[in-house]
Amino acid sequence: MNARNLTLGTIVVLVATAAFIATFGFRDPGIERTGPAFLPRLYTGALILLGLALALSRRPSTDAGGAPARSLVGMAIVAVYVAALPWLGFVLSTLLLAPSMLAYVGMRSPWVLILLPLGLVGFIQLFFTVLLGIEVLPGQLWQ
Amino acid sequence: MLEMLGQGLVLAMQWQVLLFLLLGVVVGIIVGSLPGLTSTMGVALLLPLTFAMEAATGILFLIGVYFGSMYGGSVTAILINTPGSPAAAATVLDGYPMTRKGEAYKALQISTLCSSIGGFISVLVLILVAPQLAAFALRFSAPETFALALFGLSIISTLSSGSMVKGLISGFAGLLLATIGLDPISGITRFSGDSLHLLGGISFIAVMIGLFAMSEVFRMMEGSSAVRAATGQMVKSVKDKAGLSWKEFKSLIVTLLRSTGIGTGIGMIPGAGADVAAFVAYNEAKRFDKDPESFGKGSLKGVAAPEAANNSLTGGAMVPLLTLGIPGDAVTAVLLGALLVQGLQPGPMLFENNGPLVYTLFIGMLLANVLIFVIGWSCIRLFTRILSVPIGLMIPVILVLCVVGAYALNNQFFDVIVMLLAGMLGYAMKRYDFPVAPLVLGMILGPMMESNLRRALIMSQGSLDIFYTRPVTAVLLLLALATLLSPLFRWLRTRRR
Repeated sequence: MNARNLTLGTIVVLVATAAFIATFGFRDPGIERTGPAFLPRLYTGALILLGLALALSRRPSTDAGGAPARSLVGMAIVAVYVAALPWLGFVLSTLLLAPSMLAYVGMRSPWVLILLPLGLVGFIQLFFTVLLGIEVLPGQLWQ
Repeated sequence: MLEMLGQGLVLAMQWQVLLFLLLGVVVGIIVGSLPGLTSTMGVALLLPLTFAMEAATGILFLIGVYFGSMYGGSVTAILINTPGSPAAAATVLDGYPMTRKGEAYKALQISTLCSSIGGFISVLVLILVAPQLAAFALRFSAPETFALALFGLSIISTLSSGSMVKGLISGFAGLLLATIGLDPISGITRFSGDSLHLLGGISFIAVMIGLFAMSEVFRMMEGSSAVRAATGQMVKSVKDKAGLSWKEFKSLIVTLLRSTGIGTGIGMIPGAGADVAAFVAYNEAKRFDKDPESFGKGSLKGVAAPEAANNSLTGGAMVPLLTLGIPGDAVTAVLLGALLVQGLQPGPMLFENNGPLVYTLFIGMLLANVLIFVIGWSCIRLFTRILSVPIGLMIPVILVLCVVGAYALNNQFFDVIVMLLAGMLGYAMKRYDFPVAPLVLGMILGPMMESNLRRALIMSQGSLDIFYTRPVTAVLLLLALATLLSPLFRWLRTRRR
């Protein structure tokens, strides 16, 4: 047995089992032979079987390589940016995020750190707001 | 017909008609290439601009946006693994591997050629045999649509080239995610708890943006040697500009024609969109190919098939709209609105009452495909310059476009959160070798399959006879079975050798 397959397969089985149990909470109005829970139960049942097959698989699992820690930090930065959007709004959040992200991935030129965020925000505002009439993520503190 | 075609040609050649058609195609290509902005959204948002225009000018402007956006989605799909629209989700499968192999230039040439030729042929079909085809399309009822969706889903078996178990897990996870929200038949809630946001289900476009584009951003952040090597190769391709040879193009002609037929046919069926057409065409290209193993690794036919199919769908979708006044999908519903605003009533009488105008639209549609070729072909060099941009600069640009695209879908912040979570899931899936395409396919086809299966069973009062007594349904179900079993046949054939 392969430890990584065992872990991944167990996660699939647990999530699918939880979803399978949740289907018993669906109210069936009884207007048809297959109720609203029919296909979700079929899918979760298949997922449980497939999860078991993966957990018991001897096939060597592959890892894409690279440094996941760097990606995890990046995910955290993006999560903070997304969390700030409803308060600061798109323009301000992006003007703060883009230089931080650029600095994080190794960009040091002050021109890039200033001009890229401005250009990006300008393009989005021009295309979405002016041409298409979509107001992009207004914030509570700054619109 | 020839007389009206001549009158239509004269009307279509007016400078303002041509100018707005060109503008529509350009705007459509930009809309299509931006993640989250779909053809429907582009056409709907620009509809009010056409109210003050002449009928032919306004409608052809919107048709330009529609056709252009179908092609535009492939550009970012090929270059940065980010399908601009759901229709380009299948193009990613071989388009991006071609870019990573240093063949971005060639991939864009194939996409441009196949999109424009596929679209052109489908409009010719529309002009020549629209009424007959419309009658056939109307015979598609719930059992046939269910069988078509199941046939589309059977592609999961061919998309799971690495590990079949992981591919199936991905596909069933997509199907399960698609059941979140209100049940399509009874209207009761499923898996949504007390969340109002989940009542309408999870937007598959937000998930698609996250799985393909956001996960790629997270992968780029790793700064691994594999990513650097791939980037170096991609940049090399910009310098090499190794183009498509005549021999290579000749090898694509059968795939191009087959996929055009699939796209046009699926376009006429109400409810089946360009994403379905692209995946079905991709699967058929792989099934008929002598070297199916090359698919997913940068196959030329893997780019040609979905691109020809999604653009040829546009002509097919116009068949029921113009001949019967029935819109087959959301974008043609908006176009129906545009026709009505201009005082035109689509249906059998449209050809009688407004013959010259209808033929002006036909000529305009042909021209739109020519313009896609001219603009697309002349901009390939410009598009590939994206690859010369350092990864560090690409990361915030893609990230911000993902966020704005997800938000623009419904003007809801919730979709941004879904996109981010899908990005994290996609990153983990890629890291542990789970294919992401089956999940997207499950989310696209799941609702179509479920609602039509249950409608069919209500029609037949619970009897399964309905699935094998109707010829089209039976054929599609047999094809689905053959596709599902094809990996098994391949394995048996390999063992026998």
